[in-house]
Amino acid sequence: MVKQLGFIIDLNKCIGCKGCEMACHNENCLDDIHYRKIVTLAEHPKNFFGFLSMACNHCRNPACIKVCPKGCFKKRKDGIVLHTNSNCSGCESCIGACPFRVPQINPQTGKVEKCNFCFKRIDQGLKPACVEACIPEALYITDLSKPLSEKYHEILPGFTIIRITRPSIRFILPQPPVCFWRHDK
Amino acid sequence: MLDKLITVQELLTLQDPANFEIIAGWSGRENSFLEIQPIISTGKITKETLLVMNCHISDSEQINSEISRALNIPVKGIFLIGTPEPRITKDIIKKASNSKIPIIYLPQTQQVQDIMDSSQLINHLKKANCFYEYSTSVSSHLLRLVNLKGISSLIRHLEAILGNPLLITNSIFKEIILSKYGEKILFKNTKILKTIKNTYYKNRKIASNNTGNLATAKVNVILDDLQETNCYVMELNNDNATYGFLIIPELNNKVNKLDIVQIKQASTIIISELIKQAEIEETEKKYKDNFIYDLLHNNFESQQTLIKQGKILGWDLSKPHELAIMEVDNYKNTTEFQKLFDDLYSIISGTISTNFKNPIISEQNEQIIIIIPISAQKTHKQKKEDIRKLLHNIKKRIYSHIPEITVSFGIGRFYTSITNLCRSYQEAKTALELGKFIEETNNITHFEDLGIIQLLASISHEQLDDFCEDYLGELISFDEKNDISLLETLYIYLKENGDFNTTAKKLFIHPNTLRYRIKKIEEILKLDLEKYENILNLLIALKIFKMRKQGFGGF
Repeated sequence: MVKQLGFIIDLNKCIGCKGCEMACHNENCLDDIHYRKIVTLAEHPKNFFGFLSMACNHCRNPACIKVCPKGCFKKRKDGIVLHTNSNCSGCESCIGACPFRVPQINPQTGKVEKCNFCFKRIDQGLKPACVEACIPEALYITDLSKPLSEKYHEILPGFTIIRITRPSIRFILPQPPVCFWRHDK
Repeated sequence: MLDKLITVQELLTLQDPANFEIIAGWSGRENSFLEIQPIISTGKITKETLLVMNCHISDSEQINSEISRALNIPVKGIFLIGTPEPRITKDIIKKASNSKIPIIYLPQTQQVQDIMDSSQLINHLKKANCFYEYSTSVSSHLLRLVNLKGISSLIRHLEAILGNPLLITNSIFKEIILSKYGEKILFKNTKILKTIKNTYYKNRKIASNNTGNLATAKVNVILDDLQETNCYVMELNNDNATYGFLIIPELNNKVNKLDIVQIKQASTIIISELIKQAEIEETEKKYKDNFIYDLLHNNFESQQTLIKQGKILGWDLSKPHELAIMEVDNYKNTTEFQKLFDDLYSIISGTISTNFKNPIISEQNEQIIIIIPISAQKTHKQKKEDIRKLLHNIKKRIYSHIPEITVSFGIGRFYTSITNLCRSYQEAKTALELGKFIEETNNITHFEDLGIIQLLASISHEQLDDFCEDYLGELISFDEKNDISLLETLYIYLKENGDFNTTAKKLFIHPNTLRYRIKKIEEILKLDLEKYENILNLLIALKIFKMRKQGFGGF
C-alpha cells in the first residue's frame, strides 16, 4: 500500500521553542547546517503572528528527483524523499529546483544533505525526532493519502507556498487570540 | 422399453464429459428413442432404437459394417462403448452426419446395462417432471473436468455438446476465451463483437428472458459471410458484479431448453473461474504497480537489478522507454471511480497492445502511467510525433467507449537510460499539471512544449501577481472602469503575431477599430508595441494573468 507521510503544523500551539530544530540537529549529528528551521511569521492582515517549523516537505511531485543528474534522490513507498549522497557531486541543481530551498550543501563534505524524515526511526515504528521533541505537540505526522479533515489547510495566508510540487505539509490555522481578563468593546 | 421418449442429448447429460466423444451426426442430438438394443441382440431393431455396441467384442471392420446397417434402418443413435477405440471410416462419418444420426464413443463405459440404467433414471426423472432441475444440480462432472484440464476444456466440452462455437468475454466485451471452432469461423472480426455488444445493451431490457438468474438476451448479428444469425448473450454475474459474457451464436443448432440447462450448469463454474482469474490478475497487477512505483521513484539498487526484475515481468528495460500520464479531467462520481479506472485501464492496454508487445501500464495516484519502448534511432521529432499519435488514438477510443468524460495527457522528456525514467515521470506530471493552463481540459502536453510556463511554475504566486500588476494593472483597471476588454484585444493581437487583419476577424471588429485600440493600449501602458522587449514582457504578464485566473497557485 502506497502512503504519503507528511507533517502537520498546528500554528495555535507552536511557540517557537526550537525544540524540533535541536532534536533534528542531535539525531542527525549535524554541525554547520540545520535540516529543520523555525521561521517567524510576520504579522499578516488576516491577523496572526507565529512560528513555523519547516524542513523538507517530502513533496508528492519532488522537483529534486526531476533535476538531479546523478539520480541521488528517491521516494519510498511511504512517500519519504531520501537523498543518498554517495553519488552527489554537489552541483546544487536540486537546491535551485526546490521551491523551499531545502537541500543544503554540507561545507564539510561538499555534498547535499536534507531531512530524511528520520526514516530509520519510522521503520522501527517510532516518530521522527522533531515530532517526538515537540512539547506543545504542535508538530505531528500523518498519512496524507487518506482523506483529511477540512481544518488542515494546504495554504498559509501570507506565506509563500509553491504548490506545483504538492508539498506534504498541512497547517492548522491559528484562531484569533482570546483575552480572558479584558472585555473589548 | 421406456415409457417416455428420451433424446440422445438427454442421455449424455448424465455422462461424465471426460467419458464421451461425439464422432458424428450431432445435429441429430434431439433424436428420441424408446428402447436400447445391444448389437448382439437377437431382437428386432426398430426405428425407435438406440443402438449400443461393445468395442471389445467386435473388431473395427465388424463395427463399421454394423453401423452401416444401422444407419440404413435408420436407428436414432449409435453408442460405442469400451476399448479399444474403433476406427470409423470417413464414409460412415459422412453418412451419419448427413442423416443426422449421432455416433458417440464412451471409452469408460463397459456394460450396455450402464447405458440402460442411465436411460431408466432419465425416464423416471421425466415422469416425475424433475429432469431439468436434476440436470441443473449435477455439476460435479464439469467441476472435475475444470480441475483436471482447466477452463478451456470446459469450453471445448460445451462447444461439443451445443454444436455451436462460443466465446467468453470480459465485462467490456473483450475476448478472453474462445472455443476452437469459434476461432476458425467467428469473432476474428472485432466489429462483430462490437455489434453484439451494442445490440445486447440496446435489447437487454426487452429481450431478457426467463432463464433463472442469468440475464440472457438474444441478439441478431450479421457475420462475415453476411449470414444473419441469432446470438445468445449471457451475462456472467455474481453478487451484482459482472465478470463477463458468454456468447453463443446459433450457427449449427438452435439453442434448446436442455442447452440452457447445461449452460447454466457450466456458467457457475465459469464465473468462479473468472473470479479466480480476476483475483490472480489483481495480485499480479499489485506486484507490477509496486515495481513500477519503484521504477518511477528511483527506488532501486542498480540498473542491473531493475533490468533483471523487469525481465521476470516480461519487460525489456535495457531498451529506452518513453513515458506519458493520463488523468480524468471531469469525473465527479467518486463511488464508481474504480470501475471507471478499470475500464480505462482495459481500453488503454487494448489500444497499446496492438502496437506494442507487453506494454507497461500502471495505476498510480488516480493517474494511469503508460510506458512504451521506443527506438533510440528515431529522430527527436519522430519520437514526439509517434507518442502524440498513440495518445490521440487512445483518447479517441476512450471517448467512443466513455463519452461522458474528458482526459488529459502529460508526456515526459525522452531519456536513453531507464534509470532516468523517474525524471521523465516528474516531467510528465508537471506537463499534465501545467498543460491545464494552456488548454483547460482534453489536452496532450509535452514537457518540452510548456515554454515559459515551466519557469513561471517555480515562482511564488505573490511574485507572479506583482509582475502582472506592474505590466497590466493600468489596463485592467481601465477595462473595469470603461466596461471594455482591451486586455483580450491585446492578448489576441499578440497571439496572432501582430497581424491586424486576422486579429480584427477574430474579434469581429474593423481593422481600423483594432488600430485605434492598439494605440489606446500603448497610451495606457506607456509602452511601444513595436519593441520586442515590451512584447515579451506583456506576453508573459498575459500568460500569468490567464494562469492565475484559472486558479494557478491558489488564491
